[in-house]
Amino acid sequence: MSATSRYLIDGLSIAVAGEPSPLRERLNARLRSVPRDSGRMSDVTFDVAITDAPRSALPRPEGEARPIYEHPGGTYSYFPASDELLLDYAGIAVAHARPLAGSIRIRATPRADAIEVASHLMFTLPLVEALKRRGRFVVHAAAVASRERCALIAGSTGAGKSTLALVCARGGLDLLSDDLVFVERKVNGVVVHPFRDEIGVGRETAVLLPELARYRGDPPFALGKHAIPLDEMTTSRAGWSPPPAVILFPLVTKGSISRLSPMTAGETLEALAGNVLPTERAASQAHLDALGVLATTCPSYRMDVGRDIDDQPRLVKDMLET
Amino acid sequence: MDPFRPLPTPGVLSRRALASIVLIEIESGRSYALDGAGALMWELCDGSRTSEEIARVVASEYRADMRVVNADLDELLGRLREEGLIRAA
Repeated sequence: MSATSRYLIDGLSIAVAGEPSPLRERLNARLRSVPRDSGRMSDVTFDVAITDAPRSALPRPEGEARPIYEHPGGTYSYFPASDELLLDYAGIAVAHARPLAGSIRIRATPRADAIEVASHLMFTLPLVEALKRRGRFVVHAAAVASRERCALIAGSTGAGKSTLALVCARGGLDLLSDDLVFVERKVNGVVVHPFRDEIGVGRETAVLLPELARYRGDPPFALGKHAIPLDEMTTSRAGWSPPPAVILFPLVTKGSISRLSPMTAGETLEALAGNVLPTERAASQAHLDALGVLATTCPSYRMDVGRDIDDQPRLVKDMLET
Repeated sequence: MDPFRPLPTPGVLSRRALASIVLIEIESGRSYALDGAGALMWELCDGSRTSEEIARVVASEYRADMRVVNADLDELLGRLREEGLIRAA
């Protein structure tokens, strides 16, 4: 029998509906640290199901398509005439989204890798687009906090943001999110809504931090990381949306000491521009505008990350507490 | 023949961040950054000005030699056209 779980993300109600299945279970596990919504109405609904033929289950929208995202093994397309998305990972995990209507359908085969892709990439990209239509704009960034002030650790996959965030958490800062935040424009600037997703721990991070030693083995899937619930790593409270006080762009180096170099607002916005998926024009312009406000109101630094993991939390705390 | 009055193509998003402007071309997803005089030149490409008029404004703002500004502007407009970021009004 179909059931619906509702989650509160950035003040919006996000429903995950469908028959009980390994895909529902995996999504529920992924979202276990996200606050639940007890209401009955949803802003965005994900209808998820297991099927032997995901491509047949979800029809292709009409009209021309353009690619919006690159990821090995899949095609991720946007249809401008109808503002729809069709995401297809090798035919084993497929998603169709109408972001403005808040309607997303995900279908996957019972294979473990299909379920992992369906519960991650196929969920995240449509969620990002649905929230974008509703004034919440994604930034690929971890978030840590000290004394009610928040630092964003920004960068694409592999930049070292998760590792730096976990090192900061180990050093006494609050870990608010591992990979994504959503920014929302307010009268005086922007606020940050951390996305309380599970944390992805790669082998290198597990080797670096002794308390993560149990994650040094191979991760279960090709996505390359072990998944840890956020609640296991932090006591930070859900529902807190602070203004950002600093943005860091880490770059892992072989040096012994970490160093900070200030960035201009232009450099910051240029570094953040990759967060705008090139889909619907007005929403994408609004996303770029929000990033522009973030870049001009929040000091930013390149951080050459050295081997001094015991000193890195102090470096970040000092920026937040001055 | 009407002089060329440059104008952004419809698929270009732009945002100023203090002295810089970042552009995103929505069909390709490519992003670009323009600083200082280049950012001003972009903002003046609104379809109402010829390149000569744009150069005059920039030269006045930066107290620069018109020949240098014209050369820089020609190069910039050439690149923006190649990338599909501007068209004639």
